[in-house]
Amino acid sequence: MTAAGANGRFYASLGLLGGGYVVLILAMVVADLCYTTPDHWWAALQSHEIQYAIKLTLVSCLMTAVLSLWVAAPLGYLLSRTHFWGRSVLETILDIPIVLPPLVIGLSLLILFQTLPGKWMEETTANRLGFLVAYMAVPILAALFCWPILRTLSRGNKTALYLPAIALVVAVVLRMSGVGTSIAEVVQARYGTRITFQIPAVILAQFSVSCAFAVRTMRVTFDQISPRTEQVALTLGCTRSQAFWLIALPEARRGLVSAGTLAWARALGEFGPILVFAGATRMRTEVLSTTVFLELSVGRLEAAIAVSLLMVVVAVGVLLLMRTFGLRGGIA
Amino acid sequence: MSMRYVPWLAFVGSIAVLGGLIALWWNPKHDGPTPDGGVAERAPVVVHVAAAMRLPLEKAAADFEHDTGIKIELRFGPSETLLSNLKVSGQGDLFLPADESYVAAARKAGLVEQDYAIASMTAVAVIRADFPKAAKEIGWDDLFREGFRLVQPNPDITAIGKLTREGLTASGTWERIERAKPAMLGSVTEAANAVKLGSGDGAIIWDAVAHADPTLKVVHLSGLEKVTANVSAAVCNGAASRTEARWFAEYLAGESGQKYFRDLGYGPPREAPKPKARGAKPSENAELVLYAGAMLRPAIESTIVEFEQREHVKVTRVYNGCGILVGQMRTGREPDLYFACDPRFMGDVAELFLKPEVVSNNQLVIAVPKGNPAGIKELKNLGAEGLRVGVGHEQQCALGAITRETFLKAGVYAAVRNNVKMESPTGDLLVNQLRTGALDAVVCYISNVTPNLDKLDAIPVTGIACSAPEQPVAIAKSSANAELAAKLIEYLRSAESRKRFEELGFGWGRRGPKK
Repeated sequence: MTAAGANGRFYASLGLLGGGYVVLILAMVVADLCYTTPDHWWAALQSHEIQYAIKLTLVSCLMTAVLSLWVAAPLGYLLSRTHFWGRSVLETILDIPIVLPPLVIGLSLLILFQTLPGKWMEETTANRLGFLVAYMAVPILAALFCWPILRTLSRGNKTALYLPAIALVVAVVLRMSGVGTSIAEVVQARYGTRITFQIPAVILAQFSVSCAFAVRTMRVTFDQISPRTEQVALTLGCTRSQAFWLIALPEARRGLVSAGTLAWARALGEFGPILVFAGATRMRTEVLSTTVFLELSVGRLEAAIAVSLLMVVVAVGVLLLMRTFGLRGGIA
Repeated sequence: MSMRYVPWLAFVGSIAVLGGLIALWWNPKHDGPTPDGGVAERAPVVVHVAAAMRLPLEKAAADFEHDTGIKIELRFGPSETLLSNLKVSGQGDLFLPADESYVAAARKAGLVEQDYAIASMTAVAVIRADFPKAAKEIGWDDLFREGFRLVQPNPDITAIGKLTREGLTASGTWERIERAKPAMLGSVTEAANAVKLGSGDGAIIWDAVAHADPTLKVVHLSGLEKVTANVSAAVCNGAASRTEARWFAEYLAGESGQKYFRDLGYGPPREAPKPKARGAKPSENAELVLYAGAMLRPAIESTIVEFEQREHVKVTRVYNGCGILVGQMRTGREPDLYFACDPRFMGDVAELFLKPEVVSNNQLVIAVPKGNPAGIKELKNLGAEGLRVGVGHEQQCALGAITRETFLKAGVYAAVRNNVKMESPTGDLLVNQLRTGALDAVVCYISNVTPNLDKLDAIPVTGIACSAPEQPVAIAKSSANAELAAKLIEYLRSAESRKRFEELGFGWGRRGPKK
């Protein structure tokens, strides 16, 4: 037996096993395609409710992906680079959203928002969101935006110490000038809302599940990146923070894209927690997975399948875009 | 730009992406609690609806919104999930599950009050379209034939399954179904979808569900005609828009809403049992116990006296605040007849009574001494410094509960509460206090003020639905004198009675929504 022949058979058997799964996926999509017609697609795309669901799905999934990355990158780094008491417990806790039935996540969120802290949070977002945005979020953002200028002016010395001072100055200026009050009023009138059964509940439900997958991905990413480059940077005078921001994070670029993609995709398919925590209100909390459920509930299989295929098209399109542009020239 | 700023750019860029998404596209309508100080925008009626009821509800809600200007927010889900949500969150005005068993469960959990029968459904068998027999030739034997793939909604978790089991057990058919080892599915729609897709050959489902797919063969098998269920809408105990929720439920139960249910294969709601009215013979020594809200006394007393004289029935009247009456009924005292000041207090004991009938309606007013010395024009003036205000007790009577709800909707609750010097279980007591000069203004019914119009002025509270309650009357299910009670209701709904009500400022019958 020649080595080439053995290799060929080996690859053929791998291809056969893996190909079976690919065929299964394609067969499901083809079966769905055969069950529906262009008319059903057209009708689905024409529906205002479904147009709204597409928009909300895209926006909420994107927001979930970004929020997940904010949490997953630092948490993944922490778990990968540090050893502390209770780390294994923390890892187990982070796996809870993955192992719990999705409906339970939704129910748990709903119960959480009936507790005192939950009610306080709802009360805050409903009545004091404008105040928080005007006097907390805007000053903090302004300080963050000023960071490169500050860094240049201070030549990198104790830049972080200036950030709270700038935020405080901005908050005072906003208050004294009356601009803060105007911002608060506009934000409150336009965005002040409760959480349960509203759009924030959709994002929170998606985030609760998707973030766990993103954390796991980022942890593996940092595990695979050798800490040697960071250690060299530390010996050359970098702080741990600089090593994270300037060395580890750029090296983990591909991992960040993967984690973001995974979080986005998981959020797209999320249904159970959204149904329980955000409800299925048309033109408000209806995302595409909810639309499929609503159509199935009244026996409209063709419409449900048309929307499902729409989800496949949207997902494939977005994932291809992310993989094409997000991974170009990646390092890790 | 230096490489060192790339992570900063990514971080700030992601914030900008989030901010941009929120600012450009997401514009949630503000429907949180309204701060005190101004009249709140009318909140939508939040209806928890079984997803299977989506089609008729969407159409009826759109029509109702168009006709009345009241916004309806439909929240869909499986009935069990809706019930759980209601238990946990307490949010919602109306609960409309796929069948009445969930309403019963919600009532048991203390989540709902009055319910309205909306439609009915009857069990049928559906068979796949390519089954080699015409629908009228198919019998039970075909379903139990070797190789026939029967699918069945699970009798432990679905109403259709449970009711089919109950309805077919006596005839032995259910045993045959079990022997056929059907695939048990989680919902009636799943069973219908399974037959439609061809993964099952037949299933027992509701006729309204079968109606959604005309390609299926619908078979009316013997015994299934007795397997029926009502679809009911129940007003939630924690409803924020209680009156509007009732209007919508009545709209669904009326002809305007019924046409949508009919079009989708639902049957009319089953008639509620109604005793035949009769009077008593002089020798019968018949007696009725009537519980009535205190505000109704002046309007019904003469009618009851007439009834006693003409029909030879002694009526023992118990007038009090409706909250107190409900409390008494909860402790086991059951009257033959209950005449409530507001449907909420009827709903609290709905399980004890037959279907209520609305007799009259009333209007909340601000009563002030003649000439209105404090210059009160609207509710928010009641919060003026130093004013002495009297209101109904929030727990003990409908007047207090309605006043509270009206204040909350008007956004003046906190301000007026500071001025409340007296809470009373009846409006008449408040009016007496006002006349003695102990109070500057009281919030009561127009019927409390009408007999005193020479000494008092009444300023109507308008634009808030709950400020105009309706008064329903109902016969107790346990009453041994239901027919006599039905006769008394006839008297209460007579033209003479109407005149007495209207003389006191009451409206007659249902009030209904106005655009």
